Amino acid sequence: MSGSVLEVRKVHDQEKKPEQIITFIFALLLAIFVIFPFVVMVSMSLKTPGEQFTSPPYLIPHRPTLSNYLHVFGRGSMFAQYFLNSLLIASVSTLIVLGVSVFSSYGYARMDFPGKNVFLVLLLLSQLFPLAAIIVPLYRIMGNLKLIDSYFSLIIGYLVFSVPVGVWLLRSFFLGIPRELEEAAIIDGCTRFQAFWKIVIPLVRPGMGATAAYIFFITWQEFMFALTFITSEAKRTLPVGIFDFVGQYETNWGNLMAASILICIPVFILFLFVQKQLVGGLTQGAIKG
Amino acid sequence: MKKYFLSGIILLLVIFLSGVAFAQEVTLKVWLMKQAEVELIKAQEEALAKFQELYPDINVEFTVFPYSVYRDKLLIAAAAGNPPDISVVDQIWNPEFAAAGFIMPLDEYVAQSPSVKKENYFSGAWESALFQGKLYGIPFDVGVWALNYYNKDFFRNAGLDPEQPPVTWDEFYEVGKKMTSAEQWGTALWVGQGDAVQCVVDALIFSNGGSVLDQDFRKCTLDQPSALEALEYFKKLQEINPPGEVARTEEDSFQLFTAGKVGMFLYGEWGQDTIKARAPEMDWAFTNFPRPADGESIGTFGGWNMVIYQNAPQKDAAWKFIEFWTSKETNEKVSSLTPANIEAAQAFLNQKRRLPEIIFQQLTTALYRPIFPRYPDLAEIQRNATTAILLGEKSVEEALKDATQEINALLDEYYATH
Amino acid sequence: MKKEGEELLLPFLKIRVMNNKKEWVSGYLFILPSLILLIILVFYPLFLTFIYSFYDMSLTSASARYLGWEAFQKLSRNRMLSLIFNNSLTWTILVVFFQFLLGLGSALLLNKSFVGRTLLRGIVILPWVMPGVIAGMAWRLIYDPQLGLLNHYLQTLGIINQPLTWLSSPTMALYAVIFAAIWKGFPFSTIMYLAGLQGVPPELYEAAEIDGANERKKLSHVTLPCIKPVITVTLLLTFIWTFNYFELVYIMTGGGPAEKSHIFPTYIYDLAFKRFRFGDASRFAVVDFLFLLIFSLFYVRLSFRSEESS
Repeated sequence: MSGSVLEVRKVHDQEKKPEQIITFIFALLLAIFVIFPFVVMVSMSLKTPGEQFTSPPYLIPHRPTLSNYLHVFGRGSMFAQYFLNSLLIASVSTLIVLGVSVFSSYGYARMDFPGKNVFLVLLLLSQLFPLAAIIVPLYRIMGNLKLIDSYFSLIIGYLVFSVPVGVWLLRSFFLGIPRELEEAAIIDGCTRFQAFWKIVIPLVRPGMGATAAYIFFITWQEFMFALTFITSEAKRTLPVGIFDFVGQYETNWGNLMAASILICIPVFILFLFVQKQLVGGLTQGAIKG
Repeated sequence: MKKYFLSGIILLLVIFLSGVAFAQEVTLKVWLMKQAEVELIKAQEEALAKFQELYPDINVEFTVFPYSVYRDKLLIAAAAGNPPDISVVDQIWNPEFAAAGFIMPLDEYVAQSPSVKKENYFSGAWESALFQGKLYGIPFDVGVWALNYYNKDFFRNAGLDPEQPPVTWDEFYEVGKKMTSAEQWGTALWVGQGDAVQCVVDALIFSNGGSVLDQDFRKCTLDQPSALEALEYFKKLQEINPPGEVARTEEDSFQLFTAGKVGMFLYGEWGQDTIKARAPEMDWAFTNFPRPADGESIGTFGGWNMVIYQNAPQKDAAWKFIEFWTSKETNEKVSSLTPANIEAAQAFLNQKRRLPEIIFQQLTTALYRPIFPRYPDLAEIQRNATTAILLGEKSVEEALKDATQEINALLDEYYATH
Repeated sequence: MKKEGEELLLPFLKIRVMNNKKEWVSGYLFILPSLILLIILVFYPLFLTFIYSFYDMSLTSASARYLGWEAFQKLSRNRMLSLIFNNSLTWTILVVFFQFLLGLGSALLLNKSFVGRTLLRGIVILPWVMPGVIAGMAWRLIYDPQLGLLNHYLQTLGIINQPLTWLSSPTMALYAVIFAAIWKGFPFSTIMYLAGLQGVPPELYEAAEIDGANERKKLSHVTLPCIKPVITVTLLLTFIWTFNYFELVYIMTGGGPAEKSHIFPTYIYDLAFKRFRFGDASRFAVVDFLFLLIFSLFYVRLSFRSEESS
């Protein structure tokens, strides 16, 4: 029996070489497909106005320049301020969401109570509305509370779509932790809460990290709420802020692309770090959901 | 205890009241458009510093916005009851804001002002701020659509004299035809998504002796022969223009000019700096907007006016700021477009623009767009008609007839309830 | 010490109830914060949107006119409704379908070993991570008819003769954005399917090989059935997210030319914040929500049934 398996394996190995070449070609095509627009952005960001729109167009600038990047940080550019605003709002939103979700998702994961499934379904339902739909009543509520043009308005607005996601993700992480650990603690005299706080939370830290990264990442790039709720320059976030480079008659494409590259980099790095746990959480949530 | 308590209250009251008395300091909130040029930002800061010297108890806070969100932000803020004290508004929004009661008439201030007088400003700009007989804004800067920019190499390559650019509609078309080949074109048309396309179309109509609305702004006159001919001509220009004109914006089209794909381009007078930046080696010049054989070269006026909002708590201070900002010395330095103040404009043009005489002349003859509080809706009807014509969905006559009907309906509906 | 039927929720809070009831209370307490937030921030505004949809309102509520059911009759006569529905369906179905193909294909690819695989696994995330606004700008550059790279390369390769007006043409504009959306969102499917693939027990593949299965049979008999739950969830998520995706269409075409590429979210935004017709915007939002609700219910029911039968 085993002999024939070995034979099958040997034949399989010999057939691998041409297959490997095809695989590599596909991989290359995929890479080009994925990277191409990014390359266009980098190319534009390194070009002087004289080279940006030529006929015929070309990718590699003949006289590359860093002036676009310098200008993004230079005088008259609010980029640094926008960066700080985005950072502040994304971080605070993430912390609040984490704080709130951690309890709720534990409840959904571990406890049984009437209506639990109803609430879970409601949670899902809240994801079905387009943001454009609730933005009108939200805007009026914020207006009545005199919160327009404050950091609060965005943070609160972001809670709208990040809390359901946070609860959902964390719930799947909690489901992945065996119950026995808490049960053992309770038998030893811990309250439910102590078991939760002292045993489970430390175990779910990687999951919390991944959830936090995901929330950070979607609030970092959010555009519509930021456009509507914030007025003054000092409080604008990055996605809205890049429109500073879009004038009435002219768009400063070089600066715009330079700023865009600078906006993409932090989230890309962040994502590389948390990729594994995030994927695990997303798929767990899928299977156990 | 009671004694201390009472005196404590009195002390607090005194401090409070004197604080109120000392709070003579006024803060003005001014909303403007974002400027990209560093020198301009510096000039604004310097002008602001001078203003503070003149009026030490008036603080000024600028908030700048990119164009794409500016009108929305203004409207939302005004409707919600917290607009700024002062803002610039596009000329075409002035009637809208006036009719909605957001901004206040300025005639009294003007009557008493030593420097802000009608004669000092381009008439096309001044009159754009009038609504129902009252003046609702002070012109700050102006622009005119359009000048005919041309690339001299295209002329040479077509065997034409680069010092003899076309003057009439027919000449423009013929010259453009000679320049058009598989890879290059005479000019680029565009419609885009905003209302700027009306500037070019209206200019053609004005030059042909027509208008969009009648004198009282109550009836649409787009179905008149003068307008029909103008749009027929516009459609004819499609032949000498690269495909894709409907979604193309003015910026995309201007880039075709700077990239050397089209030989002539009808654009506002502020395009010079862009050409210098994007095509530093091009041998270019510009001339007047083409006119029909029996018409005049009349452009469309554009620009920005400064307005004071009804809710502004310190209107006198606001007026002082406007007086200062639109005065000859300051206006010249802080505007990115040509100043609306005539003397400042001359200085500005002579200093910063090529062929200032042509620009100046166009500024004096240009006409403003219809004064109608729902102008954006009107412009949209016009744009849809232009789109239908260019896409071949409707004939010029059909499109303009439908547009006239729709616009008349719009006018009637508005005037019935206002 | 604990007595039976009793549990300590917090050190000072003893709950003496029968068996499961103790869990109810603690359960509710745990979910209370998020529930409150949801009610205030999500369900109340949603409720308001439903209310607004019965009114004709513009900028201020002072001008709101109650229309009742007539409001929805007015909506059904709105010529934009069917256009937007069509566009939204076309947009969503095409994007989801191709994201599925591309996501699954790239996941299968990334599951094999080859030189540079780790690098590619990192790079493939790039489109998803990029803010939508920025991706829209970049694709606008690529799609420029005369000066963009796409037409230039296509012409150089001889695939087209004349430059195509991608975002200019009322018929092509939406499809041009669809392509950009496929590029932007497929990495999400990739990582979901990749994780799913990694959960397939290798013994199953070996057993299939012994039975003489080739690559294609392995795919259809082992791989796909195993990752079916992941596919089901991913398709649902991408459908809902794509249907409501605002940024790309807004930045690339603004709904044009001549409003021909509007989808629900962009049109709702246009109505609400460019024309200040809040009543109309709310009506479209209600239709959007109801459609997604009905779709999700059918979808979930269908996938439960097929799970039960398999």
